[in-house]
Amino acid sequence: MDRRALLTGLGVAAFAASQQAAANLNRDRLVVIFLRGGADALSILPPLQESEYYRLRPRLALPAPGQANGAINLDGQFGLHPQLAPLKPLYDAGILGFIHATGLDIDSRSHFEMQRLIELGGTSGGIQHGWLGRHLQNLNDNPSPLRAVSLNPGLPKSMRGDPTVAALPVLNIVQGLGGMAPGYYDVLEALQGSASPLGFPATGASALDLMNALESAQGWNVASNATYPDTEMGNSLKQLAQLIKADMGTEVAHLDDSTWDTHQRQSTTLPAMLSNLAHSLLAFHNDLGALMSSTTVIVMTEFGRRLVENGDGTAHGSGGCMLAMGAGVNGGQVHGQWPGLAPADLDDGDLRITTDYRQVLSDYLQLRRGETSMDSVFPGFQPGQSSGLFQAA
Amino acid sequence: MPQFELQRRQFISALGAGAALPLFSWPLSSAAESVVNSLGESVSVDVAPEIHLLKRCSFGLTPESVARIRQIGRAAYIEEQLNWQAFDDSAVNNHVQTQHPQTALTDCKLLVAEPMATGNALIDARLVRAVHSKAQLHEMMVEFWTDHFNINLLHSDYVKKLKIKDDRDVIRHHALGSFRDLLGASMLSPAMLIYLDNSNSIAKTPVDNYARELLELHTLGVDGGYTEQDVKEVARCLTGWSVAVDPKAWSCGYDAGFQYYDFLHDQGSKTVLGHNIPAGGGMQDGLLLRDILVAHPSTAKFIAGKLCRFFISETPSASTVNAVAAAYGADGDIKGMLRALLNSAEFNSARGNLYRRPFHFVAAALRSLQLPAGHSLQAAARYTTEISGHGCYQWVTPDGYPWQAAYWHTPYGAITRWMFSMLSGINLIQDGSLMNLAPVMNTSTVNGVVAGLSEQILGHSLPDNQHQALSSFVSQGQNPDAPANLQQRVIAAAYTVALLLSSAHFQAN
Repeated sequence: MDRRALLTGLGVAAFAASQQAAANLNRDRLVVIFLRGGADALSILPPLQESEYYRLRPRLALPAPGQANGAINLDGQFGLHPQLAPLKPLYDAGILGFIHATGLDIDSRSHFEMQRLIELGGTSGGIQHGWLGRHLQNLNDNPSPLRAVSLNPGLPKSMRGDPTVAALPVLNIVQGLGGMAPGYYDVLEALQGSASPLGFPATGASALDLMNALESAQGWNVASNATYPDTEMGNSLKQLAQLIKADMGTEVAHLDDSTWDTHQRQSTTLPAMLSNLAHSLLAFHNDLGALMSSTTVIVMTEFGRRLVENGDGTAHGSGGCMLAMGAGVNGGQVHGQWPGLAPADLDDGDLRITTDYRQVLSDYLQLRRGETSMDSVFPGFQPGQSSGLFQAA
Repeated sequence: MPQFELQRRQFISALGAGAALPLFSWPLSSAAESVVNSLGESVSVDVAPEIHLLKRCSFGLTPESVARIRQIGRAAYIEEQLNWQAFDDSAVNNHVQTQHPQTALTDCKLLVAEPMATGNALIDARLVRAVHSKAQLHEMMVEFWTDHFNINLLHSDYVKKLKIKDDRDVIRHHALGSFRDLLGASMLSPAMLIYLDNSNSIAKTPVDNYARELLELHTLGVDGGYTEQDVKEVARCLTGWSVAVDPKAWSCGYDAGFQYYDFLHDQGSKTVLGHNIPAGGGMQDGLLLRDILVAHPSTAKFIAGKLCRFFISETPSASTVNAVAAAYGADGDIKGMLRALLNSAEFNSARGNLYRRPFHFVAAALRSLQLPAGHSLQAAARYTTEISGHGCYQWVTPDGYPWQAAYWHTPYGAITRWMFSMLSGINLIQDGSLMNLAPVMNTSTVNGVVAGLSEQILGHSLPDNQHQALSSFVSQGQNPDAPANLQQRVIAAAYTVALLLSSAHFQAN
């Protein structure tokens, strides 16, 4: 009646088989980090040559490269926020790249509306599931209960639609749950069923699978050259690295990070958040080591912020940017078509969107994850010219 | 990760203790096994109409509330709950005032209080009231409006203190009043004005964060027919609406904390949703704005739709939403809307199709077990909500906690509930609470315990095959209809409680 006996009873053999199957998948792992609130692309990748940037952001424009707290020069045209300095070596090594002026070109500045549309992956009505959920539905060759995980307690809209997605904010949660007699779990499962007219997929069996899987994932150490910040993002990525290193069959993960809505105190809050992002990504990169060559992190947000500053803050804007790190990334470059910041080039005062975020994600899913049914992932979207951020496997 | 991480160690160590208890390495009888294996896909249960109403209008069943609704009937029960101020809630009020005195601090004392203490007191008091208040429909509406006017306690130390005032003077005070008064109070709430940056919005640099959410989340809804220009104009109306945070300037009057700074207000004329607001209006601009928003037909429809999703189903019919919106009236008659909703045919027929969120789950568990306020399981309940991502007042963004089952219904979510359920069974065996339960005492068989607890905890009996599986497990291979002594019944009850709380039936609402 110990935990091991229980696990045997619940089908550890089946789980081992699922791990085996996962190991044979011929595609990269995808980690999506969503910066909620609208991250300021013009601070992440300051446009060094644009006089309007300096004129309209007298307080918030980053000083030129070489000055105190100045931007880090990337390619003469764009800089990098100084708090993202930990990522510069990865950029220089071609492991990490950006694409500027991305987003969803819809006339809305609502966080929740834009997040919903971006996560559902389509602008027509009636879409219930998310783009990751549909992508996962298209892949039925990985039986691991940890194939797709949300690193937050609930499921983001982007992952809706695939009943196997596990939300997993705290890995050691199962500690102590296995102490009951085996018969207990049999009755527990019997009491799940489709017990009411709820019509939900039964979570009973998948939760038991999840318990077993988590049990096997315990005890992996952080690499000595990886120093995660003690923050929600740092701890979440640490747990994810543990799952990946334990070879649990995890192939898609999603992490939400909040409070990027810098209406106020941007000069103090944004640097701290960017520092957290940079140190978390660097630690994850170092922790994964060789596994990074089969893992890609994509960082996205719902929109950028207005060009003109508003005191020590910025209001909701339009064009944003995306970051990609790891497998398949054409790093060391700032991709995208730069629209310029002259008044005639703006979209109602904002950075114009020149690359639809769906183009970037389509490129990735097609080139690195073998997705052949893009219309099912992004209904109604016709992928066009490659964004250039990713290369074929 | 939970920020108010107080009970984690206790919780884990209690689970550890449970795991180490000589619990019952009972063999599962072959009879039960065959039942388990034969479970089909179409198990359904019959939820009685009064149980359905009670589940939707409360944080879960108690023997007293079931008896009450059966005594007076559904229609009278709705009226009794709407007339919430008539309840004698002195017991729970006294408990909260004694155990969580920070929640009663007046404004000037709030500002100098210790923020972790105020935040913790508010969170703990919320659970106590949800479990023990007799005004259960009022508590449900507190839940509803807390999400509607969401404020994240973790935003700042100011908010950790001032949310106490918002909870007491805005949400609780107006939860069953008029939407006009509720909205007006929220617009004056220091915690809200700080949380959404309006406290820094001035004529020279208006900040439209609060203005946008006021339109999108609090009143018209995102499709309610406003423009970006309206957002900017609303922000201008509310410039100078701020907070006095100097303790010396902090009076103890009703509106203490809110401060309107006329010299920071944009005195020009504005146009909001087609209405002209003349120049020089000062603070009157914001009050006119409130009335424009309350009177807008989109607001009635938006609030009615949200109420229907909260109380009926995730996809209520347009006709029911319209009927509820029609009861909104001129000022947003919250009781009137609830009356229309709860007496509608669609409400009555929508049984068991909602999924309890984590807070509702733990509150319902504590209610069903008849535990006194202050019971040690409260700490585990709070911990469970926080690891489930549903800690009170801790949703970061202003849209409030998600209400869709698709968000909450996950394997991980199930595990957190199973852990709490298991801990409940263990805990109640240790402290003897199970011997306070009629289903354990007023029967002589294990089968009687299972049947009685099913009724008490779920509000209905289990389907036969599930009942048999459970009964045969907890009777340790003996005949579940044979006479069982108290010890046998208590042990059986501990397992029955844990498994019933873990069941899909208990998650459904």
